[in-house]
Amino acid sequence: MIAAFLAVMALSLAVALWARRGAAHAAGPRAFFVAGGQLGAILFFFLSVGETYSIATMLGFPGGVYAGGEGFVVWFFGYILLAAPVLAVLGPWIWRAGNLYGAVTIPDFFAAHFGSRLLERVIAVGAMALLLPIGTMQFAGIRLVLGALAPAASMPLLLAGAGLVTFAYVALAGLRAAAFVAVLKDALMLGTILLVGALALVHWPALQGPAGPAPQVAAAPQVPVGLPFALSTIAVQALGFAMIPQNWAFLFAARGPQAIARAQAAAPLYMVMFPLLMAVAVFVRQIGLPLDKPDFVFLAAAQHLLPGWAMGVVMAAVVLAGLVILSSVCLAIAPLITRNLVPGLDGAAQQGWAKAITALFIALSAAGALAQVPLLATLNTVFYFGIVQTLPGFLAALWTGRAGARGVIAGIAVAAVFILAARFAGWSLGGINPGLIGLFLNALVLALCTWAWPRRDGQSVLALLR
Amino acid sequence: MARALLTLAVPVALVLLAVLAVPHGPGVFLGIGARIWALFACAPLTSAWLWWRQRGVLP
Repeated sequence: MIAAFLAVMALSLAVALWARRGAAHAAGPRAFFVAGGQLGAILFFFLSVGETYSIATMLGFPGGVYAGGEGFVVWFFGYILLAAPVLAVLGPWIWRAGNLYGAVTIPDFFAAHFGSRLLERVIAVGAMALLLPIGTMQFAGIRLVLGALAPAASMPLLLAGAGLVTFAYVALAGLRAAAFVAVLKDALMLGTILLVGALALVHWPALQGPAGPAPQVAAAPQVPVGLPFALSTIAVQALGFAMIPQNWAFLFAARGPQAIARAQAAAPLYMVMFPLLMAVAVFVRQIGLPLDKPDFVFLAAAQHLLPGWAMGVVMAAVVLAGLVILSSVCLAIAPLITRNLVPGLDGAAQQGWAKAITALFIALSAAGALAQVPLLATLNTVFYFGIVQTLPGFLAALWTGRAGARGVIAGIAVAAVFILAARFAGWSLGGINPGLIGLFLNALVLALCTWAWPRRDGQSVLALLR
Repeated sequence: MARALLTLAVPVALVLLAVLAVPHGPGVFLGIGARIWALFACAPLTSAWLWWRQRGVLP
């Protein structure tokens, strides 16, 4: 099992090395952070659908199903599904807007369009605050898998190994390595789900009835999932998906708007494996396989149905999913610092500092996962509500030249204060996601500021592109 | 803008239809209920819709 796992990890490093050879002619921060904008529809597709088959999909989704929440399925499937049309519509415009200003990050665009260093810094700091807990979340998932793979080994050592592999991806070929390894990861993921799902169907218990409860474990779905919360969270996350910093990097890495539209049209079809994933969770409940945690449900089914060496490949696929997201988050955080918070660095210095920041980010994230800080889950939820708050500013930039930086900052500030107040005061809001209400308040404040203090010298992105 | 909103509205309507119009119930196939199967069916329909609308969403 361990040999198969290590073989897949070695293969992923070889793939990253191969990606570097392909980029030998390109140099500079744009080549490093956004693959020089040279990814065709297929590579862009695999980067952008990383969220479809992530650690959360393999561990969290079947775990949520197992723990017994239909609302959880509606939320998880619904938001990934609707993120595709949102990105299909907004993605080509984000690409054109980024191209107009030579942007590599979200704050690059806002700074160039609104002419405000303060807005650039506000968005850069906010984006970093969002991304920091995501790194720890990936390591927390990786920790679960590595703990099952080698229970006797030292966990800090195992996480250090995972961190080193991530650093190698980033150092070898920047975003190109993440894109190429994503292809390997998705091929393994799809093969794994297909195999485990098919075997579960072959061994499906003869007596079929409603799946029983799961009394062996403490059922703890990751999100409280009443229908109003599920639907409003789908709206927040599907819209927010288009404003995630690494997704902007993916969009800028695409060769053009057509590659983005084509990839996003195919993305929902790519969710074809979700019924099998769900069936695997139902299968485990029906045969009464004992579990330590709901999140182990897919791995437990794989362990029950597959030979040992194949289990090593399954675990490697899940770990790769975490490493690909980790490397893309590293590549999103680094330019936020080297370009937006500490501007004035030349191309070589940006890349050098990016590698140092990547190493620091990986070490901090691994330490967070080792410490198992419970606050991190809360922080991650709060900041997910926050990431969508740059959307009103982007849409305003697209359509009108009258919106100014003050209005964008005021909108984001009002939304942030409202979301934090709702979160920490425990307001129920009728089950509606506070991020959605914050989004409406943000748009309202931006509209009022634009009406009261219109910008005189601005032009909309649409006008500039004509 | 109308083209963009229409491109978004159809998948949203499909998901809402699946979630709100199909009743919650016991597993009908592989232990999965009708509502969730309806939701799963939205994926290929959304894909077909976006494929057809590709030119409509390009700037």
